[in-house]
Amino acid sequence: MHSSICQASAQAIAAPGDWLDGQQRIDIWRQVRDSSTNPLDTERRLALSPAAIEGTHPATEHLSSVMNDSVHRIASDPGRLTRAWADSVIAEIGEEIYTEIVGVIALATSIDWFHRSMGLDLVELPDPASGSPALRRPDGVGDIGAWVSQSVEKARANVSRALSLVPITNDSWRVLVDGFYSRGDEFFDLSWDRPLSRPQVELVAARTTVLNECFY
Amino acid sequence: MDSGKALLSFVDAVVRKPDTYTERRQKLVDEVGLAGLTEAAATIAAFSGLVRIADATGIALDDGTLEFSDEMRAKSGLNDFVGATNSDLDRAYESGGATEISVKGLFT
Repeated sequence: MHSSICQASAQAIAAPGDWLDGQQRIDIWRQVRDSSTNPLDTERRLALSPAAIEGTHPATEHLSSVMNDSVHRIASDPGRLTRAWADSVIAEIGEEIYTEIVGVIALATSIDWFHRSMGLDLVELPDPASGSPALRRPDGVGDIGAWVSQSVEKARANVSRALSLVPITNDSWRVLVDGFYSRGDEFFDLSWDRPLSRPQVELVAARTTVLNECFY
Repeated sequence: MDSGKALLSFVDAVVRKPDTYTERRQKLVDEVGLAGLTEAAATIAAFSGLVRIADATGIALDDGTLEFSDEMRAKSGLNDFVGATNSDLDRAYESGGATEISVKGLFT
């Protein structure tokens, strides 16, 4: 099951998305992988403040310098991102592209971290699919106080609507998180019939988020 | 909790201490089996993605979570995380209905 989820998610990354094409999305994945050992990212991570380190990541064949640098920042040190930084990036590339970058990073990170956690080799990056992105901003999104526009529908918790500005990418993400964790209506049960109990799963989840210094 | 120590140790190895990974992976498999390891790996993977979404989009804590985590956050130091600035920790919040929405709406 998990292997098929990874394969489907990898193909989703390779496909044209909301505002980025397959080549750009695969390049994001490539840069996510680079961020784990990249010297500039390592230096930023170790610094008291990432802003104290000079330097930016250069443009790649498919990503501008601002886009590439934002990939490295989000992938390598998400717990210390600031609104001021995000606003400066969004001013350059727009909130739609920024949000899609975030979504692709999440997908790529999840696939790779699953393999690392299992002690498996990382999958080869798939070939990007041809085609153009949708280039469509969905209805019903607006300022709800986050850094990017999101669904104004209040029935959803904030984490559930965080990528609502980019519905194609959001759909792919929801498939992954449902398969890896929430499993539909089973999420509402306090007792799960899985190899790990619900408390055990939540313990792993909590530890993962704390080590990543994620407040939410 | 059964295998709690082994689970925590495994997460630490994956996220922070790769040189200890082989030993801790084996210990976890000894306790929860390969299926349990797979479940743990999937959870680590999902939440490694989730934290990047939460932190990069600047979402605030939902009302119900704010209310119920107030004391825990203060005691554990979570309010010192950079991401805490995305939430108005001092504001009054609704309870009851907001809590239900927050829990049920998290991943659906």
